Amino acid sequence: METVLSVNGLCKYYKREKALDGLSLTVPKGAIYGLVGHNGSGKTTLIRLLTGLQKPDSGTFTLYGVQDRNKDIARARRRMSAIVEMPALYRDMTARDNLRIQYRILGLPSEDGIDELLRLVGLEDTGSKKAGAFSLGMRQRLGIAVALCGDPDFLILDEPINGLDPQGIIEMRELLLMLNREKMITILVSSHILEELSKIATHYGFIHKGRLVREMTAGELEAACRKSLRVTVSAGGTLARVLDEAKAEYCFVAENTAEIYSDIQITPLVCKLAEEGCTVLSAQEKEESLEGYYIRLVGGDTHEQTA
Amino acid sequence: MSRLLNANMVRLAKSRIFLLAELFMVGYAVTAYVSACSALESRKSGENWNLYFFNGLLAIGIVMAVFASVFLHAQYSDHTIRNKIMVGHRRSHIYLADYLTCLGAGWLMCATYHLTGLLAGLLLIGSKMLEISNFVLGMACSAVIVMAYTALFVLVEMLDQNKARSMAVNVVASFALLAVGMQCFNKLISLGESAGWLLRVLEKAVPFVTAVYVTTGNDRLSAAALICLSVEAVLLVIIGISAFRKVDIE
Repeated sequence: METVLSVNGLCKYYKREKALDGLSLTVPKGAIYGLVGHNGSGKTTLIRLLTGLQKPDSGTFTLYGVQDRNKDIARARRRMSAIVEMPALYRDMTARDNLRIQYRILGLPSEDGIDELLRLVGLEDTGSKKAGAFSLGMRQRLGIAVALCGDPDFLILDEPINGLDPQGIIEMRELLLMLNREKMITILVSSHILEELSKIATHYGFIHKGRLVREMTAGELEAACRKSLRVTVSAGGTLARVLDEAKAEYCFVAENTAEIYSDIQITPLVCKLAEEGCTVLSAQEKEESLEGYYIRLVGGDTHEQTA
Repeated sequence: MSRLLNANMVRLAKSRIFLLAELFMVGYAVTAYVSACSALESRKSGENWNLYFFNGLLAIGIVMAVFASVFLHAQYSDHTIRNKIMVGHRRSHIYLADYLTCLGAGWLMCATYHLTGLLAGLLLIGSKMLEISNFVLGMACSAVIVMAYTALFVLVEMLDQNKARSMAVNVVASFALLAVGMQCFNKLISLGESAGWLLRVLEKAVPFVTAVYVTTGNDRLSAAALICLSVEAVLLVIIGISAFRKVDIE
């Protein structure tokens, strides 16, 4: 699997406070990687280090195979773009002028792509309206257009749906999906709104107190949060045979414990197992929300006030 | 770095604070020549043309403090400085491009003052000759004084991400330089050659003293002061770049 970003043991202190504590993660090419963590967990700090706004105290990261201490990291960063916390825009300028300036910063010879970018984010009709007069959703979209100048193939977005209305959230989601699927842009998106993230992310990294608690694919998370019946019996082999006969979907989580995902009647199952001489020791229905899973993962800690 | 300069120029062309500063210099030049005209009419003043032609130098410190603070700080308040760093531009280049942009703007402000003055002078007073040596020396001094002021104000602005504080520091510094410069000038004039070493150092290091010498056409104006101000500007830029490399951008 080709990786775009590989982070290895990053640490960052703000005075004596540890914002990142040996964080490691890997972003595969083509993924929409959801970085999940509550406020103060270290998401923004990580993004600031990746984008070169701040320097790590220890640890390294590799971007497109170039280590952060290598001189070529500046070249690798040209393939990446980011919005940190809020879109960086000249508020006294129009959408077009903002893009024009970014084109100059990147040294792009032609401004031909500006119209296409404005169309892409739905801001082609803003005319002489200044960015400072835009709604939050429009500013976010213009921020993405600025970030897309120079055709980056890795986009980092820090809480892009914060403060957006429902319509804005839908538009942002569709834009990100389109960028990922049609323009093949790998996206690292941080958020604490898990439900929304789950609609687009292909990979997840759960971050807590500056550490990566768990990294998993969307499939693994879905399985972890799926509605199931957890049955523990005296003989696992018998249970497997009975479930196979019933054509049920299941998986064993321990030698004698299985998670059954199919909609199955418990009384006939217990009777059948009893006939086979197998005792049901416990049966428990399980259904976990994404938030519930996250809370369980981080130990139910409350929000912190760190940066 | 040319890309950064290019982008800064687009911003400068659309900058309101730059436009306001230019208008101020126009107004200042017109006022200076109107007062020159009335002074000549009432015979209160001799024909010291330096006083009018280079009078803008007395105000350029304060104008540059406000301009650099507002123009550069927009990068922090709008977070647009991130766009430069994130795409891989070196911090030293970002700093230098910002310094050169402000320096260019400062020189343009001086040029605006001189051109307006020239026009107003011709209209109000008529054709008078400024000695060519005075003119060349005055222009060179203007360039160096703006270099030194800009280096100081850009340093403060680039290293302090707090808008109100950095602006306050710059404006207070510009007035402090004016006050110290004026004090030095008066003492140097009264003490003459018996002035102490501290006064002599301040004479060369404080841009406002050189500005007063230029406007009054004083003989004490020396090449050493110009060299000292140039070295001061270069040192401040080097210190600024070194410190800016280590700054955590919010």
